[in-house]
Amino acid sequence: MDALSKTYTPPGLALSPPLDVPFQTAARPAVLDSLLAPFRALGQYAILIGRAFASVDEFRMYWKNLFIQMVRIGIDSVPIVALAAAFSGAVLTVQTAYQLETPFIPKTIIGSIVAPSIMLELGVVVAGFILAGRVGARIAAELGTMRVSEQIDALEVMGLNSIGFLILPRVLAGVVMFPMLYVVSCIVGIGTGILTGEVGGFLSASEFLEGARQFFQLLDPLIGFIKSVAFGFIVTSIACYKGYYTGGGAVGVGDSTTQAAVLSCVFILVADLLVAMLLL
Amino acid sequence: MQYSNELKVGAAIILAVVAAFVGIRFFQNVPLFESSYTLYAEFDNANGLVSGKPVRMKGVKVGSVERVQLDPQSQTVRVEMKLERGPRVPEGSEASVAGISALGGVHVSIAPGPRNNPQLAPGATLGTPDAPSSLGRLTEQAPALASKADSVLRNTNATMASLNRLLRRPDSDLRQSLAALRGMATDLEQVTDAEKATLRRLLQNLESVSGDLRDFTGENSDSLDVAIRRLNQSLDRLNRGLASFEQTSATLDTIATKLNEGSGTAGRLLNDPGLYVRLDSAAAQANTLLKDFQNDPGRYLEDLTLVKVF
Repeated sequence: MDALSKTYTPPGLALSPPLDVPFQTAARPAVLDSLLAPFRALGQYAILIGRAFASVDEFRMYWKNLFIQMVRIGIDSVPIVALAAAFSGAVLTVQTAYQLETPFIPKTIIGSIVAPSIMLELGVVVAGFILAGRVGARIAAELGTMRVSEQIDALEVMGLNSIGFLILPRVLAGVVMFPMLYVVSCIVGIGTGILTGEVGGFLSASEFLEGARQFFQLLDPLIGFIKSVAFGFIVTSIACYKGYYTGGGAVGVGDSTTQAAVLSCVFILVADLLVAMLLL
Repeated sequence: MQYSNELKVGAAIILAVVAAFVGIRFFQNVPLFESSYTLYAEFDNANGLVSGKPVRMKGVKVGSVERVQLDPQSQTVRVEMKLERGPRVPEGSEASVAGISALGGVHVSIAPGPRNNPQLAPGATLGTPDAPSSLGRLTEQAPALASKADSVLRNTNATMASLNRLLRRPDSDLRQSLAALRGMATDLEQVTDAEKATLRRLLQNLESVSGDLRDFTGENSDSLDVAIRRLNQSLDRLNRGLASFEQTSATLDTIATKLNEGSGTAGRLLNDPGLYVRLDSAAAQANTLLKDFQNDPGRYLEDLTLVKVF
């Protein structure tokens, strides 16, 4: 009935405070269990991430892993993020120009709407969604397969800290590389916005830039940066959590992958709203 | 050739940091490589000017506003501007805040001074134009004018209305006086009707009198001529006299003006209170001196004593 009760507890983890023992032993009604499941999941997630960061002193052993993950999560994602940003920038310019087609509004206003929108919201959220699919699903599938094929157990048997070895490099790579992807997304998005305005005959590049400069604030890219760090953490950590606690066989891997992508998207939206409300 | 993962990641991160920095500076409107210098301007009202707004000279962008501060001492707004090296801003240039802040178009506008003046040194403060433009003045006074015109029209309206009311009232003075006027006209008509014959006789007499007069002038035309010539001469003389009188009065006028302005000796005497003040103080001092002398003459006489016996 719930995936967590079937979760296999690896021997290495069984030595540390047991994660799922209480509800396995307690005789509680199933309804209460399912009501408490989200809290349990949150606690399990927090402990996992806490352990990952607690193993940071063993990090020198996993140094190579970090760079492999950075390349896979960050640099390999540049083309798809740039593509998404290019289309969102172009669409935003066309639609803003369409909505502001009145003689009383100067054309430069299009630039002053498009550029901050991309910096504040579109650049980072579109990149976040793309990466929730691309990176989140990949991590969850990878770790899930390792779990069901008992490779994680093998790591523990060899005396390696599987959490430090598998999870920490991925989360760190996400936190470091997402801001880099955000910069790519912003530059490509605004660039295609300018290009679309020029080619489509909506407004010239200098008009666009004048408008964008008129209302530019340092807070806009700063908030985008904060969001990108938060999204990087959300996507990679949720995917690691879902993959690490995969149960069952191939079906379990598929479930974790789906849940990792969906949950990442949901929490990206929640975090987006929280950052906007706190900082704007 | 294969690059190591470390190299790829490091290069990507450095590229991103550089791109972010350049992009932010670019949108902040700060010239990246071009050298710039600073000028200041002081305004009464910033009108919504904030840092990053453009500085334009004759409508062309030559820099941007760096900082806007309210000076607590002088109650003016001090604006720091970064200007590009290229365009010359000659001495005697004036800066003003232009544009409408609601549309985000507010900027600093520099009206360049004479072309041959040397360039302003970095850190100099630009002047501000004294009077608002004629259009600005008109716009300022337009509401007052409109309200004045409005009140005049309203008064006229009220007057017309009361006149109307007066005319409509049967017992009003205006109506009565109009009726009296009509009565007078009728009376006059009756009188002329009645006295037609008398009037005709009167006119005939008048005609004969004028005929007599004509005869008289014809007979005495010579002497009349002489008399008129004399009169003319004396009028001429009078005219000359008046002219010289006018000159005299003009001279007097200039003297009075000079006196008033305080130029010339007499003028200074009249206008400069210094002399009076000095005389006054001299008199006061003389007074004290005399008093002192009376009280103790010996003190002064001692000095005057030529031969001291003892």
